[in-house]
Amino acid sequence: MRSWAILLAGLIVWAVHFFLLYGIGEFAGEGKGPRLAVLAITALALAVVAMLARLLLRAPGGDGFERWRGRLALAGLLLGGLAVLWQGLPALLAR
Amino acid sequence: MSSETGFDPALYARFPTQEPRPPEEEEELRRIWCKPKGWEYLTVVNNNYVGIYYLGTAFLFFLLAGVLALLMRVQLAAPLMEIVPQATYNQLFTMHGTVMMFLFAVPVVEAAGVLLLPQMLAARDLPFPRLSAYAFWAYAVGGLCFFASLFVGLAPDGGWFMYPPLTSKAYSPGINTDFWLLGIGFIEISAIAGAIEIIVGVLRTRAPGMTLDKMPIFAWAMLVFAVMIVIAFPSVILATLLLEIERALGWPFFDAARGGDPLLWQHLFWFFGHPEVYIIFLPAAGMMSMIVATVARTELVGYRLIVLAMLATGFISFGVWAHHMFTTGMPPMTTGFFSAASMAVSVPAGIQVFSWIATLAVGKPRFNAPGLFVMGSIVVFVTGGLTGVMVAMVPFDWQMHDSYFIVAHLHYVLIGGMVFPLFAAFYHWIPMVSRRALSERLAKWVFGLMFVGMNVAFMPMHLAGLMGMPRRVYTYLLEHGWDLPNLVSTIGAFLLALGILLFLIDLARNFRLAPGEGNAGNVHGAGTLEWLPNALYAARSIPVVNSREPLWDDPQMSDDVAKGRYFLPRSATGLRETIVTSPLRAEPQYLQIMPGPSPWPLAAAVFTAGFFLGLTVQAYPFAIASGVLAVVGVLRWLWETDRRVGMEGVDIGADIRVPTYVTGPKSHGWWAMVILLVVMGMIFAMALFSLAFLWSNQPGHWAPPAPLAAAWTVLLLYAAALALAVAARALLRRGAGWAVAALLLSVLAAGAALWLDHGQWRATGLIPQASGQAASVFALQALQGCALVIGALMAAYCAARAVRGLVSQPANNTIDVTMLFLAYAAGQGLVGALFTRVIGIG
Amino acid sequence: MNNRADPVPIGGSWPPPVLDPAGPFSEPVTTLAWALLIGGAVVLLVVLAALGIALFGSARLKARLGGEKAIWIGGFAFPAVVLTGLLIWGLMLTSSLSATRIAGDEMRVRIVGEMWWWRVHYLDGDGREMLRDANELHIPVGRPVLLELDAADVIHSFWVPRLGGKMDMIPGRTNRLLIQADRPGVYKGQCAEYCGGPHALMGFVVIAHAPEDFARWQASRTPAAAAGGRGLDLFLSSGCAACHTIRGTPANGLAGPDLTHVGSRHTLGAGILPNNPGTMAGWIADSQAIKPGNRMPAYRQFDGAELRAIGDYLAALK
Repeated sequence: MRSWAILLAGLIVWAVHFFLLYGIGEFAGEGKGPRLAVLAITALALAVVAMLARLLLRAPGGDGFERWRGRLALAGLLLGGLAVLWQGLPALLAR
Repeated sequence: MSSETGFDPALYARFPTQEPRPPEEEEELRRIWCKPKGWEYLTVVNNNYVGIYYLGTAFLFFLLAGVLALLMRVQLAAPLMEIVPQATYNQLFTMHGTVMMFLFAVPVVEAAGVLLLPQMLAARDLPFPRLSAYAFWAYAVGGLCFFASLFVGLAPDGGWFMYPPLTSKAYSPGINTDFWLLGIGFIEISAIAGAIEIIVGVLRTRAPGMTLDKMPIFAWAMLVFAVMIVIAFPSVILATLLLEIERALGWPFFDAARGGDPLLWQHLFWFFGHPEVYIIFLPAAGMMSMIVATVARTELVGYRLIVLAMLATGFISFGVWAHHMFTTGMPPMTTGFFSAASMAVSVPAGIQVFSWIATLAVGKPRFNAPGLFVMGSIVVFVTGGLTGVMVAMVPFDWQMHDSYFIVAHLHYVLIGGMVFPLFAAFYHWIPMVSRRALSERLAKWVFGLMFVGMNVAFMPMHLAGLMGMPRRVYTYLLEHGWDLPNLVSTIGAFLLALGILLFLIDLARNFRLAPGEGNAGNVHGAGTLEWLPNALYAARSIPVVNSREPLWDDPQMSDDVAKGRYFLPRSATGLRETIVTSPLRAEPQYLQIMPGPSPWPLAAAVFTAGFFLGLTVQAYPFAIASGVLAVVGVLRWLWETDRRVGMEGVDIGADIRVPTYVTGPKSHGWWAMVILLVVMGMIFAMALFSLAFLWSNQPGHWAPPAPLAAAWTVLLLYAAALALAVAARALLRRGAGWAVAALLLSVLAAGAALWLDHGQWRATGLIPQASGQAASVFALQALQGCALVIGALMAAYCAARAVRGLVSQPANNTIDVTMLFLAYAAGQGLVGALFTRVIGIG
Repeated sequence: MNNRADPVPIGGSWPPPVLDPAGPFSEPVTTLAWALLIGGAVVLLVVLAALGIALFGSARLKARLGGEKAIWIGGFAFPAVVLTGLLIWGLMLTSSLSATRIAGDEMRVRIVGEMWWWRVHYLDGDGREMLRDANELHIPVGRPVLLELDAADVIHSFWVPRLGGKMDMIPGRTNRLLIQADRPGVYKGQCAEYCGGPHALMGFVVIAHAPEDFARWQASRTPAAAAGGRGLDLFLSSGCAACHTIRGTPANGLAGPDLTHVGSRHTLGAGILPNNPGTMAGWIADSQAIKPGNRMPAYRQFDGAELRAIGDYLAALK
């Protein structure tokens, strides 16, 4: 499980973030409150991505498989982070 | 090197072994995995045969759906043509989309998985061969019946996404729609069965040493593919179920006048429907990555990034469903979320394309048949991807949605991203199952015609869309000026068809089925394990894998494998068997005894088809009889599984000993059940979402739910059911009778809980025919009822096995999976009882 | 080309309607469309060039392309930058074109999608119905029109490409769409969501008038007591009135289009036939041959003279 959590870290953050946002849009509407909530959740998700990346960068090397896993996870955090950032933009720009 | 299971990786150094193997070992393997004769071709379960049947049937549906497309193109060649009548045309496009998506695209990649994965992972077979056979037969029989509805004018005509209210009883009173709902619902079962097989196969039956980072990229693709099926298909299963209930019983899930909502269908359908596109694309992309490396004769550049891209696609594709709904009046921020996710999902696709290009740049690419299709695929897929980014832009989509621009886009993506890679795969892998490879000379013509025809057919559709031509029109007026692009498209479609016809001629001339021995062999010089010397038992011995392209890195490997110098050079137990390995690092864990040929999967499949067909044509006694026989068939095939052989530990080579019977979370049966429960959990979660969605969108139709305070008896009974189920596993140490009694009591407790729950809701006076809320609540209870009926059957099955002395102690797989199922069912009931009472409480 | 009075082809000539905007709710989308189409073509060329280099390029170029760095640049960095820009553009444009924020001085029209035609209700500022019509919409140029879209049976979708994007008409909800024409003319539209049967033949026309012409058109909407005669008698006695209304006569059916001003319409059969006494008679005699599956039965019992009488009567309902 630990390996999967590392491999999928960035994507899991994206998924949790996305479905929270969709839930807000679908069930709470698009007023000022929901928009602020979207922005706050986005900031939080980005912070989590940064924190996970820091953890991974500091993790000891390990064997071939573990190094591979770590590098894939870092790339995943980058991709997930970009997607999370995009996900938050509508709260600012789409009224 | 670290270990995952406590297995010492240093033991791998014992291979290849040096002492010669006795010759009778190979003969015994051949006898155990013998070729079928006569009628046995119907009862085979070996992946070499089932895979080929599966592939052939799926390709047949590709041809049939293609013919439907040609008929449509003839009708649209000029304005106001009267070749295909309106009603027929509406059936044609519905069937073309449905058959291509459900009967060709998903099954064909599942078939490729069944055929290729065991060889690629060097397993003897997939872990549940009889399930594969069932999935295939259910699909083949059900699919052919479904297609035949076209010949009697009863084919569905609501478009492949079947939007209500058009597909409701009021506007589609015939059984055409029921053919779709029941036919497709049924084929989805087959897809899920295949997905379970593939997940467990990829994670648990890899060759020792094949850690995740050394897994062939196709296996990664199939893993993500199968997980996506498990997450996505439940949504459409629920949707079809709800619409069928609405049609049959009048429960208004999608009828706005009675508190339903037509948009609920669109959410449920597209939550499946968009991931579906990636479900189709990913395995094809996996094939591309395998073939590109072989075409370029170098290892894949960016393997790690491609794995990430596939995982990312698997995730992000679940956040794009509503981009099919930008014109439904969704508010701007919400459309923005989906627009952003639609952009994000294109990034992994770009990563894969550039990895392929980089691989070609590093290597010395060959312009052979697979090479041509690979290159053509890149061009066509990129074009489709770019128009995909365009329609991900909400304002542009407002114009292009449901126009021919979309028709062009989706065909570029699917033909470039799936059909061309599939043809590359045909040329690449046919030498593995045929005595002769296909003709390289003819292939150039096949490719040329398909590539040119494809572009001539679909490029003008972009223009037709910009000219305002909506999709799904059986004719058009001259005054729109759509005549020229349509005529060109028709010509292109026939060029494309001509290319495929040539391919068929090539198949007829050169394809000579030879699964296992006698095939053409590694003509392309690929580096992965499916090109080891093969027989019906796959490789003679199961190699230790140290790299991604073992055959390139160890030229001796083929010889060593064939001489039995690796794992399992013989049958250790005299039965069909394969090594089960750990999910991350593929360390040997135990020897799985595999079931052999059996007529029961075929019988169960035929009766399952009979059940659904009977429901469709409203022959209810026939349906019920078929349903009972189908259950009997499944139980009968299972009866011979979960057996213990006399030997507790066996030597699987070089004195490495593993057990032959394992229970609990390590066993493959446990894994399969957990995946099945994820499927059930997703169906249930989507049903909860439906209730919440109706509450949020139809507040005017909401009544106070059954009182929460009175629910404590229900909750208590479900908690007891859960505890009893879990206790069964511990009680098995005392005796099989104890365990079975606990399971049966668990069913009783859960049944009582459901009874009480239902009674409390009836007392509110809500009527399912009158309100979307009540319909959703009672549908949830009906789902719960189904789960409990299945649970009861399983408990009874355990009881029967206990009576016959087949329940091993102190632990037993049949008891384990029944326990899991009942525990889940109790938990589901508990959550449902709470959720329905909380939604709209204020 | 915008001042023709008769229904005219919108396609067949360059530019195609989506790229030939006629108002502020389609114009910015056309700009976006051109940017996307040209940008897309450029990216395709770049990818083709990269593929070309990979296959035929010099060793030096191939070496540059053949590594993870190239994947990061081409597959990640480049899309990340371009798509961020596009996303921002798209989101802002979505906001400015959405009917979520309206000024309140728009002309209001409620349009209801039916199988397979359109019911049109002109509303006043308070949402009260002023006028009822079918299958065509008359608007003044230069003024935004707020469409309130609904459906009577199944889902339809309203789309007049030159005036704005499309919007679905969904039973149980009212969707709003803003359109505007800046030049007088006839703008064709069509149902874009498959709605069964003759969905292909569910057309629509918007006629944009210069302000003074629009006032004249509005004034002409009071029903003149048309000379009834034999045509009206046949209309009333043959069951037509069960489905159709002609204000000022006993005909008050609601199932089909209101025919009070049918003679002045630009098209018959929901945007598919030119309107003249001949097509009118043909439609009445056998609309099922023209638009199979539509809800109006064929009236084959009329002889030629009777058809002419009804046709002339209806054609006179201006």
